Amino acid sequence: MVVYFDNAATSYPKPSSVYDAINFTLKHAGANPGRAENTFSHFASKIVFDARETIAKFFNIPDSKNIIFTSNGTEALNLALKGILKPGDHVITSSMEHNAIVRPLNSLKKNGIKETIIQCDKLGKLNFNIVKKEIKKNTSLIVMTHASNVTGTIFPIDEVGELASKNGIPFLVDAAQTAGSVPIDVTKSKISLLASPGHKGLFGPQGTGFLYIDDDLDLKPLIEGGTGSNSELSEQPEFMPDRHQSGTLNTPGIAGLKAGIEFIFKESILGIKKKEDLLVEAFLNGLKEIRNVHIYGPLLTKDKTAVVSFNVEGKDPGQIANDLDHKFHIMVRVGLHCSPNAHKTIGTFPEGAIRVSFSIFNTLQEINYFIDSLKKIAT
Amino acid sequence: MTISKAIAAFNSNHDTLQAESFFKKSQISVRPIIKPRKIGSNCALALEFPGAHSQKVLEICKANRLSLVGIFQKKKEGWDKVM
Repeated sequence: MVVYFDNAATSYPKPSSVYDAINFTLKHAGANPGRAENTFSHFASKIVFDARETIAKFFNIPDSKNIIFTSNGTEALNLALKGILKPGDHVITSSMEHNAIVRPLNSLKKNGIKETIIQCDKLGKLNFNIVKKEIKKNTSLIVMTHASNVTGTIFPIDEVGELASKNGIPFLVDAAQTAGSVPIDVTKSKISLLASPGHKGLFGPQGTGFLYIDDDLDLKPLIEGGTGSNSELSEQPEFMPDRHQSGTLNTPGIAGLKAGIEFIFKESILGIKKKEDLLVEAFLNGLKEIRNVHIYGPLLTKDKTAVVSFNVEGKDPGQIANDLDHKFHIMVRVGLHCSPNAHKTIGTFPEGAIRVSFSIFNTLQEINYFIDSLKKIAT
Repeated sequence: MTISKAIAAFNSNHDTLQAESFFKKSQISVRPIIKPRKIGSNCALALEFPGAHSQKVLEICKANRLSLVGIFQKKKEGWDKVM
């Protein structure tokens, strides 16, 4: 048996419709969308347009022109943070963030941004009341993950969105770990900016992602260049999506992303969460049978995504991961998961932890096999 | 004067595709064409449609806040902006 338990890094496998969509686009829609607009180019343009419309429907985004395709979630977050923050601005974030937020913010601090990091508890949970207290006159952005990629802890984005909206502060949500498995409604949750990779819970291929930008926000473009529009001008267009969409898009990837989201529509997002919860419950029950296993993060599935991090007391997590892979063909991820702050928060820095993360393509049989294999290594 | 065929030109490709979708829903026969160079320097599409629907097209674009550059009719040489 070969078992892939690293879906928080990238989901695998993809639904077969995703492979089909990518293949079809490569073979039959190989022209450049938004350029030339000959028959082939128009066909490619339509694929990109339809993908935007599908994303808009999925996240209840009012206007699909406000969806910018990126190469991944990190690029989307960089576009948001570097596009909106200016010297003198104050930003609020949490202690559980991925380096895709931490590093750009650290870089922006050198240019005069002030940052408040809300300390989460040992389970990775955010206390909403502390967020309230930290709002200042010059708070220009609240940015946080929807769920931790280390513990799976789900953040209270409805409450934070409401607070941000009441105070006229834009709210940026990193949906890397929740898009596709936890319902997200940007209108209901008052999310001003939503960043997501396409290649995790949305089942698109690597090389895809997007940023939704609220109509009222004007971000400074991260990348400037050819847009196929206003070509006589040497400035970036003002209108969306062209303002932030320079260069040739990953059309086959975007077609795959659209197919991935359509798959989720068919399965239903609540159906996906339910199945993932069953896997998580079985996994946690199995882990609890093994002595000296320490599990991090919440233990109730209503509080978490399908991500579980743990360590075995007295054993090097790297060695455990190696044994799982080479002896039992089980693939996990060990280390800091690009989230050193999250590990500092839960007390696993600098060694990190072993992380397993599921998708609906994993099975209870694989969970049982993992537990049996871990018992052989850990005891 | 009867306008036989007209074209609607937009600033962005996205708006052109959006308009195509709206026009089709309103039963307006529409054909995407490459935008004539005399109308704009974009690489974008334009939408060709029966000129009799020009007023309806204008209303659809306004209602949906699409970046309509104009509605054009072909002349002997070049294009007339009629709306």
